[in-house]
Amino acid sequence: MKWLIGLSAAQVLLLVLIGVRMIAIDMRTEEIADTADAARLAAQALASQPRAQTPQPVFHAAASSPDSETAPDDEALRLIIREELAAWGASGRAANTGGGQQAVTNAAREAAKPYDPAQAVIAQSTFDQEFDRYKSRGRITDTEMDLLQAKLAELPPDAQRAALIKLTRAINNGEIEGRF
Amino acid sequence: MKLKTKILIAAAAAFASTAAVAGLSQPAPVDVDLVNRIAQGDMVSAQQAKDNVTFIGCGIRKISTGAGVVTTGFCQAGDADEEQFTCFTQDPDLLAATASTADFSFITFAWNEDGECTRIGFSTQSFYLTKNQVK
Repeated sequence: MKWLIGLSAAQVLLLVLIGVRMIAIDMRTEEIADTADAARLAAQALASQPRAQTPQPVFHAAASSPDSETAPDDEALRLIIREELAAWGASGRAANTGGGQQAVTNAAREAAKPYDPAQAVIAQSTFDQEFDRYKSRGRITDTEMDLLQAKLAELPPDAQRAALIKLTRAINNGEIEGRF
Repeated sequence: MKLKTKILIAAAAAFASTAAVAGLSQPAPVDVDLVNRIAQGDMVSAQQAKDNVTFIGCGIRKISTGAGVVTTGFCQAGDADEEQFTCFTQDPDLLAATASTADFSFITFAWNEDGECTRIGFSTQSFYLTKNQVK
């Protein structure tokens, strides 16, 4: 009889402990749910506010619509706009230059790394010295022609053309015997 | 082997070799016109010319520099009268044309007063080939 009473007491105690634990879990669950609701409300409020830093006329209407349930992600929007602007800028530069493909080629070449004015002067001086040497000698070998063209390539585009005209004229006039 | 058989075999061989090179043959010797600033000719005729001054061809150079890759194309020709000319180009379309050349191409090019190529053309036709190339 005594141990039955003891068992009953233990059973009651365990039931009380379980009940207390369930109440604690319920309270924690409600706390988490309240936090999630608050975060969602904050995100919606932020999306509905007009952007003051970067104007987004294309997507502004969709973002500000209270009925929009699928407002685009801001970071994704900025990325898309940057990509479109970059693509438009590249095509716009090509369309607006009068030289067509040549201008695009030159622009791409110049955009790779601008010519250093000091280096350009040195390159021009080097080319002129080499040219005068071959002209005084009256001939240029194939290897020397390759090396001279490499020096010519270091000149800015306008100077390249002038140097090519100079070299070609000397070859065609017979002042320098050689081949390209 | 009887003589008659040998004659028949020789005739058959001669006929066969003749049949293998039938077709139009129209070589274009190299000609450089310094007045009108044009040059043209096919490379086979140039290479098989009896003199040692005839030539024609186009080429391209791509050079990598600190400012990017610089591409320059050129065409040059010399004829039997020892008239020769070299033109250059950095125009992207003409540079692309220089890639059209084949081993036995007919080449034509023109230039301006600065020596810049203003026209580059290639044509690869069977009639530019000689009997030595067809076997």
